[in-house]
Amino acid sequence: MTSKRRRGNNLPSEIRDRFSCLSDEIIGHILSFLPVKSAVRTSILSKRWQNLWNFITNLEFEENTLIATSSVYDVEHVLSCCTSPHINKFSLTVNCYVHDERLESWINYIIKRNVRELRLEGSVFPQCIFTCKTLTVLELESGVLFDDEDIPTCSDIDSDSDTDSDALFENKDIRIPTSFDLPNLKTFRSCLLYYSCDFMEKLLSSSPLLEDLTIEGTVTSDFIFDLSCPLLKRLKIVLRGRKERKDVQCKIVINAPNLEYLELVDISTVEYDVENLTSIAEVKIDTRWEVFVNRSILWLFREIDTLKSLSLHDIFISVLNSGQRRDLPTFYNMNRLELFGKCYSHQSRIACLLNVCPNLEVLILHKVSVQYYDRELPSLLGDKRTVPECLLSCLEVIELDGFEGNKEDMEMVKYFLANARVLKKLTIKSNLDFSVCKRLLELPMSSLTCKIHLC
Amino acid sequence: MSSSTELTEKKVFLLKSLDGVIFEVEESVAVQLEVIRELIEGDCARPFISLYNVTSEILALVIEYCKHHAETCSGGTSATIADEDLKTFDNEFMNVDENILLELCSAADYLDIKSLFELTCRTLASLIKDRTIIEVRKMFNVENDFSVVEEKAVRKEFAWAFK
Repeated sequence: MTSKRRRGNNLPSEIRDRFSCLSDEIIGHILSFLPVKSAVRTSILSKRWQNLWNFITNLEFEENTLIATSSVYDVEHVLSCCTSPHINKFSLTVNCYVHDERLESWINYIIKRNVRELRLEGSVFPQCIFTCKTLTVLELESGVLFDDEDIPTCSDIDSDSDTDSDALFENKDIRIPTSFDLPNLKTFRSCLLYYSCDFMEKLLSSSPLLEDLTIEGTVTSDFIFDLSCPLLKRLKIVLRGRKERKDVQCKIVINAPNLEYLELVDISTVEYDVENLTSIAEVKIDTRWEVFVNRSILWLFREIDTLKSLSLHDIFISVLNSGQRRDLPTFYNMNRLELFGKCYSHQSRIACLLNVCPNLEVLILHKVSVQYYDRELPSLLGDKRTVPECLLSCLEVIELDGFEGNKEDMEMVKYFLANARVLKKLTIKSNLDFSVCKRLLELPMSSLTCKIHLC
Repeated sequence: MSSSTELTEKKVFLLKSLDGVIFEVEESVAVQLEVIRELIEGDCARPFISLYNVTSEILALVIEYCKHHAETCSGGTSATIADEDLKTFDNEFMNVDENILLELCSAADYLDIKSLFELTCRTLASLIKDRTIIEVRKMFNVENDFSVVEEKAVRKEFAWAFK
């Protein structure tokens, strides 16, 4: 924490500069929470403030910095003014896919200042990033990985600033950084145009402390990622496939005994080989591919012992309901279930899931517009007299997002209110007219303590 | 809890504010003040500690903050629920006028309570961020002691920041 240096404050508070109770260092620390531009603007508050922003340790440049133009001046000017020996965070967006010595010199400069968090967007990423020993957080967005050679020159792209960078690099020989050493890295978030197995493998093996990993991008060629990180706690994978590249073979191996949170979004044709998820508590899967569901559902349900929260698209339910998957295991630890679908599944459809979650406390149903998926869901439980165990004993919160108030919606609310005996809160998110609200509030309730929130 | 052994079981500290008000706090709360934790660890903590830089009004708030954080963290609730609870508490706790906020920030620095110090700094930053220079001067009574020429020179040096 900062050293204590205070000014006298004997003046009555009405006329006293209110910041006089704080030292210069503390004010510098406060300014560190502002984007660079806002911090610099405080220099004209008064003479005392003129150089206080020089103490800032977070350098977040919010707006795009165009390296090729004269606005480059601000980054250099700010770096030369900041006197703190440690830079906590450096964040910069540059929309220029060219190798630039200045960017590299800035990065080298902040690395010498022991930077801990680094976020770069829209640039060529200099090699020196990957050997920065002090880094704990690294975020790379829509950039390109390659070294000094074989990269386009300014003239290649100056002619058209809107060039689709994806297309631009389609045929370039993209090279990846050669050396990696990130002994303190705990968080790596990346949204890249291209991934290479070699890059991922080297990065992961050089960051033994990695706990939080996000991989976002487009699948363009065959790959196998081995994401076996012993300390990994959070993993998010967002991979989009290309329509014309359905034949691409992709495989991701996950072996992470400490993994607690796993999120897979809009998966393409990636195959997952998952094992050893002994700590998994929360899983979110958003996918449109039935083939993926069929493959993934097997491993998902192997990890039932620890799973506490599950978020799924209702395409899963159709698979769960179909054929040989009727015998679902029991999720004893599951207390939160969230489902997305084109309509609220009728209680008989979600009943199969509710039946295997005897300790469920929170149920959230979302209505989302779905174009890609239009298949009638089979009804599994014809017998409505069997009310799932969780409704009778523990389900306390139900949230319905996108409620339309049609007959099916009303039937479902009626069912929940009539059967959820310990329900405390029913939240309905929608723009309903008065008559529907009135009908909702008049429905009979089996719980004595239930409150209905309409918003 | 038996009353005769209460003192030996639960260590209690008396904290005296600048204006002479005495607060009784349990050890679990007192150790959140890094200055006091260091005294305890160095075995030089007396049960009666004078805090010369903090008024009773601010000390009461500081103790309320430390108490809530100590209770939430020691309670049996899961980490995510505790986090949510602390977030809600912190948001409400920061709903004070800017004079108190500044004094809390100064006290958190003096008493060395890292989480409260960061919270107050972050809140003060958000007050500055959403306001124009003139509004900030008015809100915090900052007197503009630049001459017209001087202010113009500063604006010119960092012209990109004032666009």
